[in-house]
Amino acid sequence: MKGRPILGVISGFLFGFLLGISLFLWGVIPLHSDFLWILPLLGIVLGLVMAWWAPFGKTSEQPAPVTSPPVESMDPESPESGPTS
Amino acid sequence: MHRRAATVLVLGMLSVVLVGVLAMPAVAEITRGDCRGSATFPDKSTDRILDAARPRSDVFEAPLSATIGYSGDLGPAAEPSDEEIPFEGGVVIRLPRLSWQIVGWVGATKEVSAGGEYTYDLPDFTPQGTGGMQVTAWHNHGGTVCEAVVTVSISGSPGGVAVGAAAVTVLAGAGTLAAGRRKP
Repeated sequence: MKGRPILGVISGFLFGFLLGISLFLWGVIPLHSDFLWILPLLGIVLGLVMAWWAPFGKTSEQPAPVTSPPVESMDPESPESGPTS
Repeated sequence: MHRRAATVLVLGMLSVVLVGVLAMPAVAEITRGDCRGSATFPDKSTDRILDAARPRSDVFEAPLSATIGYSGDLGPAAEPSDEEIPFEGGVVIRLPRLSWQIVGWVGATKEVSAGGEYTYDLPDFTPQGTGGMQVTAWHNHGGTVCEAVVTVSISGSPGGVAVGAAAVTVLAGAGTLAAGRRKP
């Protein structure tokens, strides 16, 4: 994963749990609503998706490996001879 | 582009939640037996009587403290008996995936009805103006079982607890989005 999965699981669970509590406290859902246990699970999934997707931050571009073109042997009869430094 | 897509994802999840909440069906009230029962809240200006036949979808707002009058019977056909019949019952609050019995009673009687007064006083920190709490009252009178379900909330407006919960929710949401930040 390119992001932070542990942070995603912990904060996602808390986000879903607290979102459910807030929705109840603000009178949006009743206390027996299944959303109170579904939302923490959705939060964990969201955290993992965010960690897998990692849409934020700079892309770590690795420099392309430097390859030098093969040097032809000076002596055509000695194929094992390489370039001399 | 990615940031916009992540925002759309979060808003989409919230939309699914709200659509699910608004689509909840209204269902019935006395779920077992022919019992009748009601509680009267004399201090309320409107909607004073909480009847057991009240639809579950109709949330009753109860004050934080009150002295209420209650009455109930086993039904129109029930008559007192010559010998005492054992009974038991209770009041249960339904939570997600489980239930919590807050009051219970047990005994024996010849009567088929009961009534009286009951005083309660909830602590000030009890959340007010919340979503409904589904309360089930059940009674087993010598094998005759009654059960009624009502939905109750404590009257008032959401206070500092609700605001604090919303603030912490936003912080946790920011933490969830931060999980999408690339590792260095």
